[in-house]
Amino acid sequence: MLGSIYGLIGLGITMVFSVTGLMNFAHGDFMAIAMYLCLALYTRFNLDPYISMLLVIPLLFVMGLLVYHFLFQRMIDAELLMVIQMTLGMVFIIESTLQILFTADYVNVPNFAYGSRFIMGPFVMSGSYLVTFLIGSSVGVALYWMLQYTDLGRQIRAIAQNREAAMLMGIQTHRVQMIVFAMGIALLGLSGSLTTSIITLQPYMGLDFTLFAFIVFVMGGVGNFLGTLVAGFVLGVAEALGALFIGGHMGGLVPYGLFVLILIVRPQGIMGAR
Amino acid sequence: MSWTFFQEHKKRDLLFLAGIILILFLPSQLSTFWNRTFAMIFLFIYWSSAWNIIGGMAGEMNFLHPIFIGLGAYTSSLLYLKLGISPWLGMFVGGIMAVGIGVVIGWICYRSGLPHLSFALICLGFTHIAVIIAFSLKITGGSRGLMIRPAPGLANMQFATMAGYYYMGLILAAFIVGLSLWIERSKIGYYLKAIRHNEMAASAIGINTVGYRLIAMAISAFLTAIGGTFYAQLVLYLDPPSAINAMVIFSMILFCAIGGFGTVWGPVVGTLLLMPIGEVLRLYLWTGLHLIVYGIVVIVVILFSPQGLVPWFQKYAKKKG
Repeated sequence: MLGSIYGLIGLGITMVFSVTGLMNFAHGDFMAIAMYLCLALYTRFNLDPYISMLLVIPLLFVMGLLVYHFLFQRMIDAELLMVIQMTLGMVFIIESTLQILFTADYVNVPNFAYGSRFIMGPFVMSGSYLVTFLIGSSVGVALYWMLQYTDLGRQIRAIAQNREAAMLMGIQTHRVQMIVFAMGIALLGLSGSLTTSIITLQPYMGLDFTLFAFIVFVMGGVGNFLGTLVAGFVLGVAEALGALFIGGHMGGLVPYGLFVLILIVRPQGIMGAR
Repeated sequence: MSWTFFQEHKKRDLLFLAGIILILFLPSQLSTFWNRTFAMIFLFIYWSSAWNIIGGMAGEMNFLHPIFIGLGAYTSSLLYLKLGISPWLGMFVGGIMAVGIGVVIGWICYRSGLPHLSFALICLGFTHIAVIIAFSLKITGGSRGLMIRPAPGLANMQFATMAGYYYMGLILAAFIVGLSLWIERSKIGYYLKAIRHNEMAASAIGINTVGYRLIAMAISAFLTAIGGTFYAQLVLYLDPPSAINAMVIFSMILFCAIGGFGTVWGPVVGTLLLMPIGEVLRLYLWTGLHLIVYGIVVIVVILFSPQGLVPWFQKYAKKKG
């Protein structure tokens, strides 16, 4: 059921990549920041992660704006591997800062839906999974609607198709790029707050999220918004099934194996065009 | 040829000679710790340069090297532990296995014309799979790892003092710089450069792009696996997360990036600049803080010269004279 969250994280990367051409390896670490913010708010003020979300999302949006303005904007024409290395430098900074501030212990943040269980036929489902799934997929649908039918969405798609032509049409590419980057980070604020009760917090988890997000991003077809959401679901289901039927180390193989297989059979991704 | 020109060259040659003598006599003055650190630095120069052949010269986002390192380390160590075969032979077996795996994965991926990004992620996927396999196999010792009995002796590729490892690392590093210089000036080097800049155009003028990328992959895989054997003999302990470590490939690429992709001296400069900084910071700063400072150094250097230090320096030298 984490599929919708994988889809959301991947969607952030897809939007940022198609509009700015940047790859952010620190993407998952911003999600870690969001989750630790929830933890801090919970321990200090006893705020439920579902409520502190309202605080965390704008905060991450602003953080995205600042990071883009001071770091990424200068790298927009640099080689892709260079950008990746710069973001890896950010990974070092963020992970060590989190470790110093919160120690390397494993922690969980409970929320009000944590203890409840829903029984649907043969499946038992924790309440927080259900909430995560519902919010995650509705935000995914809302974003898709936004991309298709609003002015901002049209501008985003125009820049993704051809940056120079979009610029000539009078779209303020720089502003849109900045907003999109911040939106990608804000999406992580949402997914981070939703999953604090499901995923155990640990300062070094960011890179794993990033890898999963990239896998979703490539599997859906690079730059394809709908494909990313679909790929997120597919991977989430594959992971759950692998854990259920095989279990242990080998169960963890299933999503990666599936990814490799899909790309070999269909190099352009699930919904990508040649 | 004027007198000043001769003098300048004499000066440069003298400096060069002094540098070589310093490098050769350094180990006797250093503590065990620093000898070991320098051995690691040389090993990373070696690995980064090996990656540079496929990643820099052919411009491919190849992340398979943790698998090659693991294969080299595990193969030679297992041959040594179970059959008593010297690592000097075992490293070639490991190298050949790495070439096999690299060429098979490369062949599948290149033929389907995967974009760079997808290829990079497939590599990371394979790395994950390799770690899981190493965990679940019995022969690798699983998560308990593999201990190599210390038995110093040249035949076992183990040395009584760390200075021995220093010289061994130095030889590896010198060898790879020589090899890179040769490749850069050979036909393969020019073909790889053509492939890097425009693969379609390269294939249009009749370069067998798949073939040459596979050759680059094979060379790189073989050399990396041999470095893996040396690594195993240096640390004498292998377990899946440390032997097949994705962070190692990230640092290898980082060193190449800082120095300049595709240049022979880039990986050398990058490693020599960053690794000592990292070690010193780790020694003298509060744990955790050293990585923050390291990250800041990396970001500042990249923002300062987005092309890498070696191309930047070349441009600077050209402007000056």
